[in-house]
Amino acid sequence: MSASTAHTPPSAGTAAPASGTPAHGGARPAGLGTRLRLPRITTLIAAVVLGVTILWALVPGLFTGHNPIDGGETASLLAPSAEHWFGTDQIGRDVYSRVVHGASRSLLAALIAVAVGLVVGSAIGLIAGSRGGWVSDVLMRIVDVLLSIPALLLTLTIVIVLGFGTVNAAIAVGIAAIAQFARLARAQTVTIMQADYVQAAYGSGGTYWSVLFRHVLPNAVSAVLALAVLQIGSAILQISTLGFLGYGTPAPAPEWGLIIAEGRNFVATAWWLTVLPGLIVMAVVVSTHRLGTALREAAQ
Amino acid sequence: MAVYLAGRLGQALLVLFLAYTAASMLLMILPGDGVLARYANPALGLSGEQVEAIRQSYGADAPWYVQYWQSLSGFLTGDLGYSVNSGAAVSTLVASALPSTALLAVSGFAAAVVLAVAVAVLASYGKPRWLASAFDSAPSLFISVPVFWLGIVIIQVLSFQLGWVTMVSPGPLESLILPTLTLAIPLSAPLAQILIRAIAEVRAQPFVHVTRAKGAGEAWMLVHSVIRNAMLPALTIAGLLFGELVAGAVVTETVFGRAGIGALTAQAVANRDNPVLLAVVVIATVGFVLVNLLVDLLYPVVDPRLRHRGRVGAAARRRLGARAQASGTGPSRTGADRADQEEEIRA
Amino acid sequence: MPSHPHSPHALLRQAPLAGAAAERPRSAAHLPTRRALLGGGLSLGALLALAACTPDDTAPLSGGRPAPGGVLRYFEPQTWTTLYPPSAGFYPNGGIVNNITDRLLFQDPQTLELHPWIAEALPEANADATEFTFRLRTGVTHSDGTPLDAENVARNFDLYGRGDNARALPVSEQITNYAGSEVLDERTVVFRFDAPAPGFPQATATMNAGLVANSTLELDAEGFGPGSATRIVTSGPFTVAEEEVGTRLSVRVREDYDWAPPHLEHQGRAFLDGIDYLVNGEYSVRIGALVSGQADGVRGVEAPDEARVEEKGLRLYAQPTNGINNGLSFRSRHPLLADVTVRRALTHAIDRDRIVAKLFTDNYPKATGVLAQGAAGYVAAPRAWAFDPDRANALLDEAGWTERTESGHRTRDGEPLTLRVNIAHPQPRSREVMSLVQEDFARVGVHLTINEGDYAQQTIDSLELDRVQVYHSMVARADYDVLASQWSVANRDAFLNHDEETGEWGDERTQEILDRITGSASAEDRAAAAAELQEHFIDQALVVPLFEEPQVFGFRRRVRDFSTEPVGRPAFYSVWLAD
Repeated sequence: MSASTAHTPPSAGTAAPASGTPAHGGARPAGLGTRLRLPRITTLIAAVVLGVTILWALVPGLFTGHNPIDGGETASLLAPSAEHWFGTDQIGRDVYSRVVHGASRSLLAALIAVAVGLVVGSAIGLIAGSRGGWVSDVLMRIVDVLLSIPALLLTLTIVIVLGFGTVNAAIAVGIAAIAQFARLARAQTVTIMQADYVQAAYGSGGTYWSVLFRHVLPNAVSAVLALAVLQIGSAILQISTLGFLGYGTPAPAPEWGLIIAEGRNFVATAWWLTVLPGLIVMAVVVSTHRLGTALREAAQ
Repeated sequence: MAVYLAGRLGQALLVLFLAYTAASMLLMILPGDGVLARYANPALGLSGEQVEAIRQSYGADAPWYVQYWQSLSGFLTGDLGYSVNSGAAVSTLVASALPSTALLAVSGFAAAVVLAVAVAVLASYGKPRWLASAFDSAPSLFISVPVFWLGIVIIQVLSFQLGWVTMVSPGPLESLILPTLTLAIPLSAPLAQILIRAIAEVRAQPFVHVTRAKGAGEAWMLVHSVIRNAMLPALTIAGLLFGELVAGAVVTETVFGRAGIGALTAQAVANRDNPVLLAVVVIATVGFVLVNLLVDLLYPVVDPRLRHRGRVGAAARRRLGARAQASGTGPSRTGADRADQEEEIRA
Repeated sequence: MPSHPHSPHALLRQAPLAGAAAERPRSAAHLPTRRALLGGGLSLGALLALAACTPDDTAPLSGGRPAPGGVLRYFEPQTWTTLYPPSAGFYPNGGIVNNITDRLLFQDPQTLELHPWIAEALPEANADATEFTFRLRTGVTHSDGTPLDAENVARNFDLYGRGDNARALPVSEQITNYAGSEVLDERTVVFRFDAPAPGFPQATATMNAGLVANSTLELDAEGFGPGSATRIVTSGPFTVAEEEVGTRLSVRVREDYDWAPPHLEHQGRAFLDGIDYLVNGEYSVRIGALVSGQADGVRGVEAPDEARVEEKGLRLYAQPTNGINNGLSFRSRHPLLADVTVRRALTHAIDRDRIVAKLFTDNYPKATGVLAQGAAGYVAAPRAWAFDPDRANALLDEAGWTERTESGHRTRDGEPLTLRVNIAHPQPRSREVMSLVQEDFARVGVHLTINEGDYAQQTIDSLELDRVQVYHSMVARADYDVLASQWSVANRDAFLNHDEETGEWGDERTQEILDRITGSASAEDRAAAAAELQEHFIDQALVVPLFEEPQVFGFRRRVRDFSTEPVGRPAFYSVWLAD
């Protein structure tokens, strides 16, 4: 039995071990059947949503003429209208403009939060899962400690130590997510380490690190990435919780989580304050998920 | 097994101690203390001198190591101390909050599992295809709904408009329904996501096609191959969700006005109420360690290949054939045999 | 006879419909469809449900006769922290303490005059206001049967006037220079002070001086805290009956209560059978519970919701708090604010009309003085604090803040004009108010930072001049002493006026005037000093009052004769429920 046969572990995906991560998609194979037409439309919409959001982040001025940090004489809590697409917020600023101008800060924050959790967590999980023994025990008990401390206390302290600001809040949320990624990555790694092709790779002279990077990592990362996509959404919402407590982005800078948090007391009176920015967050997360799925399918 | 359990219990105690110490240190880092937060509050109108005098009587001006040692020795002797914010005994606060949260956690988790399985099955086997595709997106939708918003909407619709349950002094069961729903939706998202992926991957495996070719029904496959293989990552996530449960309870309990550990945590953080926070950390750690010990013990049950876990890495580095070792020295012959059989099927 | 809702004894001002809020466009027709599609039916379905109506409250507003019966379900945003009366300034505590305790004197919430209650007459005071003799009525008992006699009263004030740090029970902020008590006989007690204490009779009328039984006076902070509420024994119209830590406190009527203030028309037992104080931290849920009829009343209806609550036919009560107006204190000990020209410029930069119009309703009138119109010692200052950005710019130029950074903020010799303001969490919409002030300041080139952090963090940072230079707050107490409560270095010290180590003062004259308010025996002298202080604040641009802060309550129509004590805490003694 050689490493190149289809003896992949159950949860490792059908991507060939050597082909890299599932997200590392090649060109879409030609001759797609009619069965795939519908997903292609949703994929297209997803791509447009993400594209627009990225453009918001890069050139917000193109999309809105309203000042995001000074509402002037505009009345507060106006409902959505042709003039104010998303209505106005609790002090009369244009919500759509705040969402557009907040895109760069929020996307960056979500990426940082996910990246910190994903990279550090996966590394811990991979090492713990592949080495076993006392290394695993030590690493996983550290992870347990991280998981046991209430996330609120942990993130709050990190923000206070690092200083206030969107990026620091994102790092705090990311650190709080490390433990999750670590445990998941370890579980995946442990399974993969049992697989024949991994054992065979050792047998044919592979070193620990080469096997880890060439065979274990690509297969373990699949499930972890699936979690990471979800984490984008929850990262923005966790930053929003920090914002609600007064530990998020300092006023008056716009940021999605903060906009949602500030609207919390007006859910029944001015639903647009939480719902419309909330829909944007959802749209971004669902689109990312959709695009990720499409890329994975294309890679197969 | 007994040695393994003893080892894990020892590690659990170590984790408990480390979590306690880490939490104490985090609280040292936070500027100000509970005494200051309470007595310097403008609502009381005390002068700086008066506050300082109270701080001294509380021992809040003592060096951190003295305070750490005092609280640690208190915990070791079972004395949880008194809330700085209200003066109430921490044991009273915790005793009144714990059952409510435990109940919510269990019901919320159970509901999340049911929901996740339903979503995963519909996303994998739903007909027509657009329905399956819609359910495939459900997890990312579920997780990006702000929990507070979900809770408020559920209350508005089911309680205030339809009047099915009351928010004012509800009965024990009545008070559980809406928070369970609120907690279960975001909680089910990662679980469903992992299940969907795992099912898809297992279905794509050659051995599944073989079993299908042998005439096995779809249902049989679900039970015997797909679910069992998908259980492993799902179980891991389930263990992780315990932490989420406490975090999720913070918002859920606030929105529903429940007195639980989550609400207590939020309040204690807001008031820098260290004795309460440390008690919460200890409770969360104990619960967490137990749940994950359970998860670790369940791994080999759901996946026989893991019954020789921990030795394989070393074995591989010694460049020994894993299969030979597994069947030769594995603690459970039948497990190893079953794994072998399974691989034969796949081949 | 109990008072009728519209009789002179109804102490309430029913809130007018907020005009600005009512004209607000309510159309939701312009949702961007592309994103709505993406969001899925889940959110839209919920939205529709949200927009759907709960039935209006159509119960009659008046009529019927007060009759005993019924338990009032009343929502608070936070759980109470202690029932120790001197700590009743915290709203959730005060709402309970005010209804379970009696006081020596009763203060009319409208006239602010003092009347007898447990004391059968106003106290006899000596000429320099250092000695007060109270004569008590007889037959008053606590709910455990022990008498409320001179000895019990003396023990109450001995604790409140001195505090007990060993039991973590702080001294009452309203009783200063307390020397001790002497029981002359069963009905007569004398209180003595080291320095004139003209504010003491009023202090005995506040809920911070609520009288408790001897057994309760033995309790420590734990005994007054959550989990032991049923150990609190009092003589008031209601007594604590049941407690669920963190969610509910039930008080029930005292059937044999017969010592209400003689000034009130209603005597004897309270009409209500009891009150359930419920806690929910989520504002939307509290309002929803009221609108749907699951609750009878809530404290703290926010300004944007007033119109909706009234549309539903519910009653709003905006109770003035009769103290210092919600406003800003400039901490002049900080180098950036030491220059009176800068402080004047900042005063002129703030558009108070815009704040009131954008964020509040007619129940929050723009401040016309440092004190609220109903407060003791109010002096009108119609021309002060005028909004004049041109003047503000000119003054800042004059003070040397002429250079600008790239972001448009003023600097002087390279130093930026950057100030930091706290968020006053207990005050209505503090964060939004400060965001508007931030905009106002930015328009004249002053960089205002809003201090980050939660409630505790704000409290802690507000004690540091390096952290917070502009202090946002308000204090309510219906006596001249409220000025000292807010600004004296012996109390809240909103200016952080004095540095203990260097002996440096921010504005020493303020303290000198405050000492005259608290230390003068005659009411005329105190009134004169209070007026002088307000003039001084305007002249030196030390304080910018923004608006008069009410406590806004919402009640179902069947709840009648609701009133509050002088600083807006609910008084349920005369409340009754119509069928």
